[in-house]
Amino acid sequence: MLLFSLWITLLATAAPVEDARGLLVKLAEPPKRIASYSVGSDEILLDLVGPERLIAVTSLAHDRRYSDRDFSKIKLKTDTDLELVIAAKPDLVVLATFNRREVVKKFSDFNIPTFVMGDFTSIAAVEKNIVDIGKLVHAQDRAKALVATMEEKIRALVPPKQTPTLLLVADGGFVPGKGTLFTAIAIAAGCQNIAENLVDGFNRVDRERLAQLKPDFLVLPGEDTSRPVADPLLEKMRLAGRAVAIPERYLSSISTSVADAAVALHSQITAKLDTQGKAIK
Amino acid sequence: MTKTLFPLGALAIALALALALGGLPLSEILSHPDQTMIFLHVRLPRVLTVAFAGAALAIGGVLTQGLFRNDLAAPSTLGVSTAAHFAAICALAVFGGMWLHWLAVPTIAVATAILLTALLATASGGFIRGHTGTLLLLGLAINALFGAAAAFVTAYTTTDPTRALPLLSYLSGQFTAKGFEHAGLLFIVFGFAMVCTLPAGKSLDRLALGEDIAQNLGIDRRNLTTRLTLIVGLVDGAVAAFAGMLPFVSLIVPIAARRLHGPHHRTLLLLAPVYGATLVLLADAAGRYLFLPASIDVGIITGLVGAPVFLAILLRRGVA
Repeated sequence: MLLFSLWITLLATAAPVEDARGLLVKLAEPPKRIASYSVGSDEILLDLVGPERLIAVTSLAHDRRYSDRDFSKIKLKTDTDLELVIAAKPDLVVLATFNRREVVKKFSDFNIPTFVMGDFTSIAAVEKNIVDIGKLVHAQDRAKALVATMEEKIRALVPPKQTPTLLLVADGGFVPGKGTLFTAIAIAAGCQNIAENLVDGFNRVDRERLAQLKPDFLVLPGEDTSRPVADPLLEKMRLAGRAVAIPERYLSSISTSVADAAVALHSQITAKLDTQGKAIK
Repeated sequence: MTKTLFPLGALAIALALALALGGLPLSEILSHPDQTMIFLHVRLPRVLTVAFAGAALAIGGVLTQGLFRNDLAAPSTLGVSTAAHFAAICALAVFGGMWLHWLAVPTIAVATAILLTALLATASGGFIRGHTGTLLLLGLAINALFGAAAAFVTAYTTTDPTRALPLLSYLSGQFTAKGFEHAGLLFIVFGFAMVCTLPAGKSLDRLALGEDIAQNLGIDRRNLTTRLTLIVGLVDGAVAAFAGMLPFVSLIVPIAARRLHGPHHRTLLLLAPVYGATLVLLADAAGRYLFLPASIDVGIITGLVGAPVFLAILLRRGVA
C-alpha cells in the first residue's frame, strides 16, 4: 500500500525535462501563466493547455498566414515589450534556441523558469518537443494523444506507386535541403525532396543547377498556385500544372501542424498523379 | 557656459525620455515594487548600454577625424565599423556554440578594428596623404568588401542550424534585454578611452595645424597614431560586438560638436560623448515608439538620419 502511494506520488510529480541548453527544468506545480516566444511553441502550448493558461504568445501567432489557431483571447505579445511580459508574472517561459540568449537570461534573473526548445529538423524532433513541453506543463497524456494523432495522420497516407520528387523554393530563392523539416514532411507524404542531395539546411541554389534538377512537382508557399512566380524557370513549371501550394503556416510550423503539412502535400500530389503513379504532364 | 549647459540639458532630456517611455507606464513603476524591479533590471541597464555605446562611438569619431585631419573620416565611413561587425559575425560563426564566445567575439572585433584603423592611418600618412576623395573611396571599398563578406558568412552559416542560431540571435535586435554587464563593459571601455585620450587633445589640436608644424611643436606623430588607433579600435570594436552597427553616429556627432563648440579637441572629447549618448538615446526611443507596435533597430534609425546628413556635408564641401 505504501509502495503504491509512493508510486502514485512519483507519477503525479512531473519528471525534470532537459532543454536545448542541457538544463533540467522541472515545475512542481502545473504552470498557469505561460509565455511563449516562438509560433511553434505557441501552437504546441495552445494544443496542450488551451488559452486559459497562456498569457503571452508571439505576434505571428495572431497572423493567419503563420497560424490558423485561435489566439484571440491572448492579448499580450512576447515580441513587443520585454518589460510587459515580465510584469505579467509568467510562471513558465518557453523559448527556442533562435531567441536571444540575453532574453532567456533576463527571465532567469527574475527567477522565472525558462525552457528552451532545440532541434526541430525532423518530425520525431517536433514530437519530442511536444512530449517534453507536455511533461513540463503537467499535460503528459494530452501530449501523448497529440503525438499519437500526428502519427495516425501520417500512417494513413498511402505512398504513391512511384516516389514523386519535389522542389520547394522559398522567398529569396532559398531551398530547403538535407536535414530540414520540409525534407521530413516530403518523406512523410511519400515523396522525395529533390534538393536533399544538393544542399545542407536552407541555402540559395544557383538557377542553372535548379534547372538540372527536374522535379516532378514544384511546391509553392501559399494558398493556391494562381500567383505567378518571378523565376521564369519555376513559372514554366507552374504554368504546366506541375505546382502544388502548401500554406505558409504548414511550411514554417514546428508544431503538430507538420502532420497536417504532410497530409496537405500528399493530397495535392496524389491528385496530380495518374494511375501508374506518374505525374500527369 | 550656456553652450556647455546645452548638451547636458539635451542629454538629461534624452535620458528622461528613454527612462520614462516604455511598456510599463511610469505611474505603475513608481507605485508597484515589482514593477520598480523591472524598471531597475530591464529598462535602466538597456538605457545605460545605449548611452555608453553612443558616447563611446562619439569618442571614436573625434579621434578618427583628428588623426586623419579630415572631418569626413569616421569609423563608419572608413569601413572600420563594418569590418568590426564582420569580425564579430565570423567569431560568432566559429565560437557561437561555445562559452568562449563571450570573450572571443569582442576580442576579435576589437583586434580587427585596431588593425584596420592602423592600416588606414598608415595609408593616410602615405600614398593617400591629403586626398580626401581617395580616403573616402577607400572607405567605400572597405565598407563594400566587409559588408559583402558579412553577408556571405551569414548566408553560409545559416545553412547549419547549430552555428546559425547564435548568429541570428546577434543579428536580431541590438539593445533588447541588455543587462548591467553590457552597460558596465561599455562604461569601462568609454571611461578608459576618455582617460587615455583627454591628454591627447592638445596634440590633436597641433596636428590639425599640419604634420610639419605639429612635428616642430614636439608632437611624436607615430606615438600619437599608435595610441589613438588602439583607442579607436577598442571603442568601435566593443560597440560592434555588444550592440551591432550604429551607422553614422561617429561621423555626425563630432561634426555637430565642432560646429557648436569649436575645433578644440579637448572640448570635443568632453562634449561629443554627451551628444553621442543623446543621439543614440533619442534614436532608440524613436525606434521603439514612433512605429508601434513594431520596434525598429537603433542602427536603422541612425542610418536613416545619418546618411542624408553625410550627403549634405559632402555636397556642401563640393566633394560630390
